[in-house]
Amino acid sequence: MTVHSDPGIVQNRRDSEHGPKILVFACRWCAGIGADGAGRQRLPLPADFRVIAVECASRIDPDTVLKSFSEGVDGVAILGCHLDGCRYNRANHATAKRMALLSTLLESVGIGADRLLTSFGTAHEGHQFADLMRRFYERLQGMPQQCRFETDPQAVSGGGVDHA
Amino acid sequence: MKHTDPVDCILCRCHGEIDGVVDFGQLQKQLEDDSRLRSVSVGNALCLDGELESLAECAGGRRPGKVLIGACSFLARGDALIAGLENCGISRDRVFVADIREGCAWLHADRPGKATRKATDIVRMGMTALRHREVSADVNITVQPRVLVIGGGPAGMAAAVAAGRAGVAVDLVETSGQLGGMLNRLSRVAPGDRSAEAILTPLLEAIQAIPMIRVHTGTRVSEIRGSAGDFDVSLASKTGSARLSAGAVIVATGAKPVLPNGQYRYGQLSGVISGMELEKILKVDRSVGGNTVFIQCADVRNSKRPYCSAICCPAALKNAIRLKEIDPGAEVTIVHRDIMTPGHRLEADYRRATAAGGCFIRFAPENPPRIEGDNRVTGIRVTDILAGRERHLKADRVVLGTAVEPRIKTDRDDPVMTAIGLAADTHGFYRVQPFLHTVETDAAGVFVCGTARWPVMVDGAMAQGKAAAAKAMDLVAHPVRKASRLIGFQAVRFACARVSPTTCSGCGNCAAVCPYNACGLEKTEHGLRAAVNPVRCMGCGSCTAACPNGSISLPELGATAMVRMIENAFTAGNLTVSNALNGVADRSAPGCRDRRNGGVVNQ
Repeated sequence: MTVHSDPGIVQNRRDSEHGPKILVFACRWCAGIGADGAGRQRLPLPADFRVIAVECASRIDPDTVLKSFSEGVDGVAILGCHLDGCRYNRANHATAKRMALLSTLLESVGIGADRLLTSFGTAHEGHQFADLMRRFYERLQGMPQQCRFETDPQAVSGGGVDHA
Repeated sequence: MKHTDPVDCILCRCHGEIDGVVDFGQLQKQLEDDSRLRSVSVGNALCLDGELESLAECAGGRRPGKVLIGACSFLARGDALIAGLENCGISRDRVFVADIREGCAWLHADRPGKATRKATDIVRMGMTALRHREVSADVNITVQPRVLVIGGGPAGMAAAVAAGRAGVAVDLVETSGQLGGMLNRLSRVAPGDRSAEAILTPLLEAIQAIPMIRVHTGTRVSEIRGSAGDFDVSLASKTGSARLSAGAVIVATGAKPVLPNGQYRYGQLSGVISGMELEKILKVDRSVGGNTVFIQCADVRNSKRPYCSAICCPAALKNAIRLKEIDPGAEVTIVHRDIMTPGHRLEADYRRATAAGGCFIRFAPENPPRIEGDNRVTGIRVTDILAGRERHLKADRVVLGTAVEPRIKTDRDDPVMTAIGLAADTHGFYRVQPFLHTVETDAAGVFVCGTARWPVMVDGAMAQGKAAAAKAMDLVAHPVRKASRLIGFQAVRFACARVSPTTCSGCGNCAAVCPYNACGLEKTEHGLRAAVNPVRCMGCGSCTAACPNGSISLPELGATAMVRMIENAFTAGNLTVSNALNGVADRSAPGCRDRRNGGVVNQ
């Protein structure tokens, strides 16, 4: 799927003060240490990202990613250890498969797979984390802003099961 | 702990490192407006000068609550802050350090406005994580004071002797009829020129002399159940089966030699033998003469086995020296890709082989030597890449360096080891934890030593055996252990998964995805339900991501905490959202799977 973006919107986006919002789910062992290293080296980075440190990238389920998008986040990054270098045996292999599947789902619902960044092995050093963030930020700058999805309290929750 | 427990927030200025960028006035105001925080106070350099203690007294003096610290990262001084508060009597479960220095102030010094908003969000996310954090159940394990050693080679024997000498009961299980492993098949042992008996005899004598060591030869381990501290082991032999219990398991099963079938006309032409066959000849026949060519890296260091076996170069050097000693007139040539002799003792072997008249020829992997001969080998042709010309060598015997390969290819090949959580690397050797843990595996209470872990020479195998024994003794020395303290790479386990038996549908997703076989299905009166082994669970959270209805969760970072953190990630300067979160309505947004808690009021 191609992202249909109005050049005007993108230009607006570049000029406005609010850049794309990025939510980073970082494994505590690799990417979390990389994010910390970026801070220690005081690498200049776009400020609109937030890091949620998790014990292992395998903790991240598709629901968490979709919830982030529904909150109006422009991009979600899942950062884990090297495949084969996971502290939890082979747990991040499951994440790799899960996120590959999720990205096809994101394409089909119109959010776009480009908004999900899955990276294993990189970002365990400060400059790698910073580089990854900058490139992801640039990629998202070329895309229209995500809107926040409001939930309708009257709507049937739980996968649209009709109790009528 | 309840999520409504009051939270006291302490912010650290860090001598201007944080408040030089982040506007503390604005930050404090935003946080004070937040009804979820009971108090907000500011300190300077909390990690120094007892500042933290005085603040902790303020915080803990009233109704006991939770403490949220906005300071540096956990890796910098955050852990010291948590330890400091623990000394003041505030449990570490009630403390959260939100990183606003490395994660915010130091990164965004050029954008103070954005940095302030980000700091507010980081503190708020920390607050929600802290509010919704629960504490995993911990269990006490009664540790069986016995160690099971699987494999009676040099590594396993050294482990058994080390543990037995220290007074720990040991069961040494060996599948073959006698102890010794590879030592039984070697003529001499490299490095140096030692006989195998010189190494084997003291070990055998020690095993006989120590009554704590029980030896089971001709026996294999048919099943291991249980987990660290209490393994239930079934042994099977021709005469019958037996069961025993063990607190720790040392795996020293070794590897198997590679027979280079089809390579260099091995198995087709008489006179082309493997290194192990030469060992057998040298063991009985002390008058082996004639020209010998050794070909190294046979069927190893290729795409099929992309590793160096580490033992074949020393073995070829040792045997070359021996052949030269027996028949100084014979020509002994080692045809190699690279000679691997790390350390001064192996380097000395290399020099001795050269001084004895051994000849070394290097070939390129894409142009391997060709064997000549019709009924029996007569010589080889090889392109010497250093001299740049073709050489023809006469040989009565061609010895192919015997590499070793793991006994299994993948984890699935070995149900006994898989059942205790032992994992294999991409080659099939058992995996140990990375970095500084040489014998500890991902499974608590299971240790690997010797060639089962990676190709190693006899001395290295024995050293690893002793290391494994030390680690196993460290485990079984305590009669009772807490499950959360059994993990090697973490001082304290992050969490232990918890199953909600009323909502679990018994689908088995968690059992399939768990990297430690900690999740399993158990029969209950309502049908199959997931159950978590509290010793094996390491708290990675794979199961929570795979569970279709949120029935399994990590109490420390549950679905609610995660959703609230996401909701609070970009709220600074957006008062409507933060007020909405403070409100009474439970916003069951899509993605929030924690509906089993019912209508949770006041998030």
